[in-house]
Amino acid sequence: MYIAKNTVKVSDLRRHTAEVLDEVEESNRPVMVFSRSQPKVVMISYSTFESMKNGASSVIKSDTEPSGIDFLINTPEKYLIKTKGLDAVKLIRELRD
Amino acid sequence: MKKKIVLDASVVISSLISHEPKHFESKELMRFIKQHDVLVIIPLFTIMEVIHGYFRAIADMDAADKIYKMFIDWNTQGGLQIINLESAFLIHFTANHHLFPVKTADAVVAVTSYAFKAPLVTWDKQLIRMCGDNTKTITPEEFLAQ
Repeated sequence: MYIAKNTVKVSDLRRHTAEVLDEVEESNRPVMVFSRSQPKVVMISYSTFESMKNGASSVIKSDTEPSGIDFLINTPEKYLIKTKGLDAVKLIRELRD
Repeated sequence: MKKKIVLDASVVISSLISHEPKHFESKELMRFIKQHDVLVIIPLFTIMEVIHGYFRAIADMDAADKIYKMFIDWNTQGGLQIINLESAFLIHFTANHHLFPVKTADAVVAVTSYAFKAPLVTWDKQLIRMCGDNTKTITPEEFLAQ
């Protein structure tokens, strides 16, 4: 629950170390640790590490879709709304009026 | 000091609609925000509007869930401050809502801008007009031109 999109704040890691380690182990995904908005280290489970040592680095299930503001900058095609004639202000006005 | 802005739902939604008239300008603003490490402030209500508006347009729960995750990631990465609508905000709202003769949802965004002394960036000309001089309210184009 402390890991959002394979990232965790160092402050959350400090406060919830055991829970974060459990999530890394169970998900089998690399998790980036952010400090002051910058990625500092990547954590992986021991089983993933062992597999990498054996040359099977592809076992890491990496999510290649952009996250955070990168998602808004480079939105994957499948998430774009393609309706023609749709106006953002009108759409939001409909929700507010 | 880090530059900060309050982002209206219209700008976020615009960046997600490929045929939207201001789509590319909205993307340009997002690139600027990232390149210049601008802190974006968004009330929780705006996130709800974006998720709900996006879902109404795309009718896909998984895609709408992705938008929620995008906001959470953005917050985790440090570029987004989410303003919870709890008692501390209610004090700001109660003290300042009278400055903004607009609908409640608009007033929440306007008061956020006023309380955090951060310009409100929106495509909504009506909102810009109604906020008047009580808080700085500009379009993404005007923000980028500064």
